[in-house]
Amino acid sequence: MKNKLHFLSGIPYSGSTLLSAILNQNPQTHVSTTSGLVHALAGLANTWKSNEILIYNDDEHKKLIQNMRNMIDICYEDIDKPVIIDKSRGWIGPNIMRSVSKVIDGQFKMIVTVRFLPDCVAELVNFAKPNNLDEFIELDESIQNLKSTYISLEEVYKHKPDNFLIVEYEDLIKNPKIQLDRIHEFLELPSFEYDFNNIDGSKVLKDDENLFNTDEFHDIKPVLAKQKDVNSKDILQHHYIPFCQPEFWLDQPRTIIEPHDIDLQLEAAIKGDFAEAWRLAEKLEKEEPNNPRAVFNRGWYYLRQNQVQKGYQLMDAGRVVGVFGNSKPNLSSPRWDGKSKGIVLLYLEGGLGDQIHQVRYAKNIAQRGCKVIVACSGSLCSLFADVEGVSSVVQHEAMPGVHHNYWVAGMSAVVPLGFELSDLDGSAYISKPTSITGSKKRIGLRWQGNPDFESDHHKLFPFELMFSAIKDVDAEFISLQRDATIKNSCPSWVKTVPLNTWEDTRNAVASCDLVISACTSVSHLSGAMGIPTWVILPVLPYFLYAKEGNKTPYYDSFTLFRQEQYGEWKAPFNKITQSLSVEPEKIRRIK
Amino acid sequence: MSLYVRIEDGEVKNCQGTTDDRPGWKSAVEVRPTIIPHRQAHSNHIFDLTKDPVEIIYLIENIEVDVRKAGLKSKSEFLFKQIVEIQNLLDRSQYNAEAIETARQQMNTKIASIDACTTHDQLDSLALDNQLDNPVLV
Repeated sequence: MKNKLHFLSGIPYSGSTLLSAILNQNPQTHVSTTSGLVHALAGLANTWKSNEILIYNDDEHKKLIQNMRNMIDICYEDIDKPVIIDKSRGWIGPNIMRSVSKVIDGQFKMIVTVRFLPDCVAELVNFAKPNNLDEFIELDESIQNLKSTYISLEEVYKHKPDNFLIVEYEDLIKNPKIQLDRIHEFLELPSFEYDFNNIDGSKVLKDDENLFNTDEFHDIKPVLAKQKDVNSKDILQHHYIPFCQPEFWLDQPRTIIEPHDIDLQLEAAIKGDFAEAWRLAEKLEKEEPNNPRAVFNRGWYYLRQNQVQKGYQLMDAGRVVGVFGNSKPNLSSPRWDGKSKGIVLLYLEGGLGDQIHQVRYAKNIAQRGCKVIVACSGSLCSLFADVEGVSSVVQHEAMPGVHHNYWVAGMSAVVPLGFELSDLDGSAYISKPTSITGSKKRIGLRWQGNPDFESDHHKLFPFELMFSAIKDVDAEFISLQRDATIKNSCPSWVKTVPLNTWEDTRNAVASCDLVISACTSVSHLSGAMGIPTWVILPVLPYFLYAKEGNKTPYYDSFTLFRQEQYGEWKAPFNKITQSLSVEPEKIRRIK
Repeated sequence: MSLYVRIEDGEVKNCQGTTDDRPGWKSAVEVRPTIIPHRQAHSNHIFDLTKDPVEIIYLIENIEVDVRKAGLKSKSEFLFKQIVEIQNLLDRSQYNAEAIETARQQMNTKIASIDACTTHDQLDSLALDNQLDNPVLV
């Protein structure tokens, strides 16, 4: 390669463009504007590896490396400066860094500009001036780019800190000479006197504006100074704290963030202090009435107070920040108002258990004179085909092509239906296949849900408590646990049955006289089929079980066993042992 | 075990336990320099062709604290799983939830103390390396 190649990257709005303009004063260095070189090299490497003609062996690998070097040379053939600094966020990636290290001469060196993350986000908000801050923060590509850059940088910096020189925006503004000296030492450049009172940013700005097809994307003044104060706390409001992420490049954290009331509310609720959590909910209502997370949480407490309609209305406000685990479906049709007749697309959302719960509303919507098409995860389609009220079922991916007049969000279907507590129907709605029964009672066990979510919801209990609670019962036990890693905790006296599909699970559940389960999708299926089901719940349960007591209006066949103290799971299992010993009729064969 | 290398144009072309009819075979021995247990490991090797027999010299790489921590935590988790597996094989009348609970608490304590360490000295003071390499399953 004819030039020495280094790299420049940065979190958006952290000064990388400014730094480019400064470094370009140096006759020894050329800093590119945002470059596509990384993508071109990645494209070449991927093509090389995936193409059968270009067999990927040692010889071909040497050719690939040489081709990549040639590509870099061609890219910068018009530049007569000995040191090239290619600017792109794409360079921050472990695989890319490893591959490029083989291509360039010498060590991979990258300068990365960083800044207090909320200030970067606030700059993006100031630039975009969104009408809806919540939607912008949740969905806008620029915010997603910022998040992914931060996450990638944290990951690669952790493993290869020596490859990076981190330049903080504030330091660059306050003490540019020190930062430029650091850069020179890092890149082993000869010394150069930069003029911080005469910075020409016109070239890089023009190129970036052409690239991003927008004006005034950045503003570089000739004299180095902080351009404007950003009051990120005011601009970002309730989004401020989530962006206060660790400044991992510092040995000691600089900012100590006080927990937000929403965090305190969650902490109180997890430990069962619902009075304090409700006090905070009321406080947040006054102080941050439009904070969608606070509104969503308040909905949970209204459900706890049996105010079903109000609770669901408030929870629906959380949709904009993705509280149900799905982004807003890309549908141009209006949301159903509960009265209009036509074809209604019932969009089932959240996890599989959520969807099994929500499909019940097809019947209620159909009773209003509508034809209901259900959109759900592909694996559940067969379960829902014969649910009352369902006209047809499509999987989510096919949803945009389905003709309909209105759509309903499954989690919020109660809102247009206008339901209150007395309108909720706990009867079975998923059909139960006929199963062969043996002479012994059969109990199905499910001790853990999706391992990705268990800890988050504080519902993971020590599995041995469940096995210990039931081991003395004269019954046959089957495992309803599908995940391979979790199955390892299953004793040999608990039988395994096929659970490869949801149809298998339906058959397995149907064969049980009783299902004992953590709050999982299997418990929803069991309840939806009307099978007696005992559900073990954490102190802070899923919203369907917010209302106190051991029964729920959503599933008549459910009995709830609640954790009584955070961190302590023995109490609900002692009750299960007791119930199994004193109420054996509950698990009598009923088929 | 005997080791042989085949040298062609001053480069090692083969390294194996037996020779064949091709020319250039020489005896070789492995040289593993002393390492500091739990802090260093042998990595790649180089050939010293000036020695007879040829020396296959292993290089030494330092084990980063985080890597050692991850290994210790993984072994702690594996030990817990082994105890669960023992219980799983028992008849239901012998199933001992307390044994699993105790093992879980021990695992959690170990992991918390490993997490708290930031240096090899601190990890040494836990004295977990040998204990986890040679667990006693009760």
